[in-house]
Amino acid sequence: MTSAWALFCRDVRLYWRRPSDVLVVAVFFLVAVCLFPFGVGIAPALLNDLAVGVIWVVALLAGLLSLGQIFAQDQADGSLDLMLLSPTPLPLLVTAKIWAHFVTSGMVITLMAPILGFMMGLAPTVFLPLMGSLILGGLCLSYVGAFGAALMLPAQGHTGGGTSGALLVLIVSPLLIPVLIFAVGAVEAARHGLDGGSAWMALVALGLAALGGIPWAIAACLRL
Amino acid sequence: MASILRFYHRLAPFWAKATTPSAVLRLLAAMQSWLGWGSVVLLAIGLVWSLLVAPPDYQQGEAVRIMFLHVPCAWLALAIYSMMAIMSAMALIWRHNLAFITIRAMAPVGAVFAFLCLFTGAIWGKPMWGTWWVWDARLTSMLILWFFYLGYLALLAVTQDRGRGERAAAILALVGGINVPIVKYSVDWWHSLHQPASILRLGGPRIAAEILAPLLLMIVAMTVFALYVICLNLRRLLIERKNLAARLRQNLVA
Repeated sequence: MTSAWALFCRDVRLYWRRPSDVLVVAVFFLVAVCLFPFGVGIAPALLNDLAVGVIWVVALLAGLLSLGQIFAQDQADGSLDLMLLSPTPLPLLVTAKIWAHFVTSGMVITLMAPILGFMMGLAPTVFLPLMGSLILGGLCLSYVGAFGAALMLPAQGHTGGGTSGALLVLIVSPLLIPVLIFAVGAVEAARHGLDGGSAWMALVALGLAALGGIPWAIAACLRL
Repeated sequence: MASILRFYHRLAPFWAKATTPSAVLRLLAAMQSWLGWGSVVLLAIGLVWSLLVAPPDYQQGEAVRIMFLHVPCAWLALAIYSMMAIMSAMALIWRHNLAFITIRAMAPVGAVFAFLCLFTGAIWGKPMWGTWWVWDARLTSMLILWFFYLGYLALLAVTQDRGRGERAAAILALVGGINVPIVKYSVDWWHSLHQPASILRLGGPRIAAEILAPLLLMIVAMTVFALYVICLNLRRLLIERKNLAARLRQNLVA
């Protein structure tokens, strides 16, 4: 447990020391959402209808772009081998890495969401459900994306060179469609003044399934 | 249980001998011309029967004939992916090299049939539903199945370490298997524009015999054709590896 915590702190510190990675995610999120009013026009009713879906799809892409490298750096400098040899269970270490990524990307996106919500003309009452869905769904995103990144490790060679985030999107986006459907469904229900209970339950269920299952799948991929 | 295990252990040496690359290559070489000519003959009969002899539908008229291509393509896209998922599990459990190569040989074929299914479906949808595409449960889940095929192929294409890449891709194919029942039952679970299952259903098929018979023949013919292409693919991959191994051995001696 202590070594998993140490790994979590190390990863957060690494992101902190090199803030450009986190900033790129945040700025990509901001810029990509702001492209939509240019593309579809600035009619307030239309933007209001599109807002939740646009914010969610862009958040998904932004999260995946930063996930491609989650294990690549560790493979390149050899620390991944140390994790494989460590007496601490590998799924626990993987979980620590995923949470470190979530804290530095999913949380940032969540905190930025209300600003973009204002710009897209969402009512402030929707912000809380939007942020809640981004936390729950963002967690699923970090887990599933890390699974995809682990699958892509054989492609990275030992150079640590980046394969593109585009490939990660191709591989894991079919797996993320349920997350997208239920997250947007939950927020849309709130936007129309409904309670959206079933969508929230499905989202929590997906999150719990990811929490309990995916670290083991990732551990299996890393040991290939 | 013990007797089953004993049977399995008796069988194992024969099984091991039957699945060496050279034995499989011999088997494939023997099957290839049968599958090739078989698909030519079956497709010729099936196409003539379904396109010229079978009666037009009382509502859809001649446009119904695209069904004779659409349904076999859909069946093959699902069947090949199911086989890939099952073989991935087997390959990962028993680490049998041949299983990894077979999945690799099946994937591009299945991807093409998934695309053809979507394509012929769009052509059929335009006159019947008035639209090329709707975001309907059956159509969307089929599209996602095609994405899984593409993801599998992309993952294989970018890997540098072939063995690790094949294992990683097998895990992806296995995970994608959850989509197969969703495609199959999407028309029963959700209200869909697509018609419900009409061949494999409780209480027998809901298609007139004059149309069902050529349809079943076309399904068999296209399946034989798919097996032929997979057989060719598999032979190519096996011969490639055999040559590579021979070259490496030569270098070792020299």
